[in-house]
Amino acid sequence: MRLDRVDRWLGPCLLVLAAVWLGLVYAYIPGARQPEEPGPRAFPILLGIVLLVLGGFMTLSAYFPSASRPSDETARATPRELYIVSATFGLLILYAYLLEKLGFVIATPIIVALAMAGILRMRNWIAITALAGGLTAICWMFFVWMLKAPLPRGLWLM
Amino acid sequence: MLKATTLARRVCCTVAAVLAGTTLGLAPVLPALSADFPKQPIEMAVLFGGSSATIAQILADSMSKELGVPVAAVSRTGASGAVGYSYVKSTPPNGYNIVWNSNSISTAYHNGNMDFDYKAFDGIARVGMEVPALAVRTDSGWKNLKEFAAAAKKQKMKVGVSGRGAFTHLASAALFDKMGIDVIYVPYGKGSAPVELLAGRIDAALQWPSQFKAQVDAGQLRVIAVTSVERLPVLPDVPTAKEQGFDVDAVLWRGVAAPHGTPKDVIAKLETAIRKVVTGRDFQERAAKLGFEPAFLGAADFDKFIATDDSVTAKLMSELGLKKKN
Amino acid sequence: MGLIFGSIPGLTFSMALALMVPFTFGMQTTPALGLLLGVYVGGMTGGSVSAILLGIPGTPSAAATVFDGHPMAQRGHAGVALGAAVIASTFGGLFSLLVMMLLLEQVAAIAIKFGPAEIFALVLFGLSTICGMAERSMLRGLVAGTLGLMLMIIGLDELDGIARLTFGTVQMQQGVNLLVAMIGLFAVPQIIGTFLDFGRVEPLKMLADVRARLPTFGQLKQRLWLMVRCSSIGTGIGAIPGTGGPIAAFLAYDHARRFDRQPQNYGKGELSGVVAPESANNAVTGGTMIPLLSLGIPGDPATAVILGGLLIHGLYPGPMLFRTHLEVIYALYVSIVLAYVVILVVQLWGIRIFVKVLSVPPHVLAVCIIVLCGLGSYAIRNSIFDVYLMAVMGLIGYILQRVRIPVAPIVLGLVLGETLEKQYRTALIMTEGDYAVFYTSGVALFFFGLTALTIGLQIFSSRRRRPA
Repeated sequence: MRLDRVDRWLGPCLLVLAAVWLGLVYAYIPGARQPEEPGPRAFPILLGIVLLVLGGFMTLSAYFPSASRPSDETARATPRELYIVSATFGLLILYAYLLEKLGFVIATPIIVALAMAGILRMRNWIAITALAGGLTAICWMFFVWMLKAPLPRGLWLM
Repeated sequence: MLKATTLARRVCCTVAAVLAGTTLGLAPVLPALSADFPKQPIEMAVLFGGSSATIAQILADSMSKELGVPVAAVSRTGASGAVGYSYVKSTPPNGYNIVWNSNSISTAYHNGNMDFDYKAFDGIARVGMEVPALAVRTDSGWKNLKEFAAAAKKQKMKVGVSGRGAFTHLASAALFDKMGIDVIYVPYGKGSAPVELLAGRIDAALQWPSQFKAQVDAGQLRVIAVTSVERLPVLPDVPTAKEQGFDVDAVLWRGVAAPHGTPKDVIAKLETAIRKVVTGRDFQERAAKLGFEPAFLGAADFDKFIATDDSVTAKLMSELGLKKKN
Repeated sequence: MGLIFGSIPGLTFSMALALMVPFTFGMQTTPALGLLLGVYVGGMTGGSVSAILLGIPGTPSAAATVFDGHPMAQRGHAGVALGAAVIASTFGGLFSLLVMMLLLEQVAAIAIKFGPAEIFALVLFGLSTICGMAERSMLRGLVAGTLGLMLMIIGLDELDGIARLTFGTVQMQQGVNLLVAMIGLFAVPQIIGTFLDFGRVEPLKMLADVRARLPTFGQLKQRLWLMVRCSSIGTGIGAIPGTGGPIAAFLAYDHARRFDRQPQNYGKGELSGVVAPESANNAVTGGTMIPLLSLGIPGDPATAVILGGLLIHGLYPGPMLFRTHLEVIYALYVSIVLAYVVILVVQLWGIRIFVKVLSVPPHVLAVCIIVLCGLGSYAIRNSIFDVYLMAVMGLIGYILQRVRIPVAPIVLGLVLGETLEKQYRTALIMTEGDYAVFYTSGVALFFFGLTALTIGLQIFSSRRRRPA
């Protein structure tokens, strides 16, 4: 897919983002206490406007391309890519959730095993167990033993 | 309901034990009974950095010696303390999660940044106080509050504070209100106010004595008042605002609290440990060097003290237009 | 000790320092001081290790090192990058120490001239470098920079105590931490990339050559002058309270890129791109000591902790310390030199072990990085929210990479944005809205001029390049 094709929807996306941003800023951030100072809202508004302009510029130049545009290529997303991206994202979110609820010692092997078996589709269970256990142990030793850094203990267990 | 949660907890614990056992042989923590408290490490959330965090470290270290289990001062900073308070509030009230609290519990609530107030916690003990000091440049010629006030009536002064709604802002507002002068509050984060004062970009700064100490010794800055009722050991020659005729009592207290509902005997044990530490000589000496005034207050009195202080803060903040209606 | 902390993502040296302070109570003054300073400079240096090897900066100051250090490691030059980083760090650190010893009073006198208006101008100049950071299109670079600045807005506004775009949640008030964002933006897309390649592409053979080759003497000699300039930048910025390591590192990085004959190599594994930020961020350590020792004012959170350690021992840094405790000052100089010698030896020796990391199969390494991402982002502020945030930033980072929006300007926006906005507002609050503060100060005008020049040159050169 050519990059100026990407810009045809990226530009409008940025416009929408900027508009939503400005709306939120106006709705939620109060203005300055004293009329003569910028206050907490001035900067966010400025940024929203800048993004609006940039998005507009991108949209215009995508629909009315000038002759000398560099034609970069970027690959289309494949179903496999979509699966891996969403699986990795889901895994990270799950890791955060498990860290909070079950603590580091339990969450980590689960995540490692899921990553290897679920995303990489490895079926070598010995390797999976070894890495899951070993990694947890090494991290634990480093963080808790040597550095005395507090790792999540797990809210469900307290 | 109760049964279900205990069952869930047991199941989790069993799973945990098996898993942990296979990985490391480290048995996870089991919910301890309050009678034999403490049996596992205690976490004390510290909400701010700087010298108060150092005090918290010292306290935690000495507490672990008293209690026989590790007490870790864990930094949970952010959002003027709201982050740490929310975390500790979410933990079970069993004494293993405590918080190094301060006036920030009131300011964060009345600012509208936190949806619960001091009632979400049970006080364990007040540890001490920090007293703000008002400093000016020596070459300004102002030697006391009256001279400062006289000058401020002619020309609007710029006073450096840590941030709007921060304690130094409230304390200086209380002081200048009594003095009947109107100033420009310049908010600085992260303690740059003394430099700005030194460079002459502001006329005065209300900050902590340890921040001025070096420059006062060198004769470049002069502290003209402290906002406590009694003089400070670190600055014995500096008169209080009250001595100078302006009745102000604004000090930042610090103490330790646990989530509301923590068993009374657990609180009592922690309270005893803290009392031993705070009244000990080691702690007193170190605290003095950091400009921290040890001022122990037991659990029951501490709770009352916080309640009174909260209403004072609330009143002050609404006068300043900083209070959100919740 | 500091080295270990620095090299582990998420454990910043400020935190290491805070943990070390209690240990120093029982010690004599001199060893206590030595320990604290050792952790400080060690942490600053160690941050580059994970930045280069894994693409995750160990400390915020090492953020700029990722841009070129990590591509170098991917091309099998990890040893060279690590070696150059530690040598540049040592150089920068010792250079700033020298400045501190010789010109303490003078630098301090200049540094306090930097008020809000001047710092604003300086940071604005730093921000103008966004234009140059975009790989191909300036438009995309600007979009990224704006997005970075927007991310910075989220959270509690320190000046007014107002929550901005937090939607009533306490967790959001913490704001977007720079390191958390960087872990997400840089490491996560890489994990995804590795997973995508797994089983499809034969693992690249680039990793065959992971022997610990050090940078040659010639490579370093060529960059000696660069190191001097970047160390000066670092020392100067460190001396100005309210700035700090990340800002210095980014300015140095951009400085190196702009004055190089082949700026297009930057971001792809250019050795100068490692040398510049590393010499600058370590020079900051000496720089921050200047206001600390001469004025008793800490320039950044780390020196604030060191100040606490000094106070406990009854030492009040400031003009008086030179008169009353001169021996402490000398002890301090000696400990810094000693710390660097140890760091140099340990790290040059350690490179052999560090590069072994790269001989681990990439997919296994990626799984390990997932765990490190989680732990690292948690440990920065002991906050689970940051782990979620890291995941979200990771997704955003991947999408941006696919639509060819560079992530480096986002990081720049996050680094500079907060200071930029705060100083601007403080300046105007101070003068009650009088904009004269910006154009009556010579220093501020100088930096505004530089900013205009940078932008002008950038537009000019991109115009010229287009017809070609």
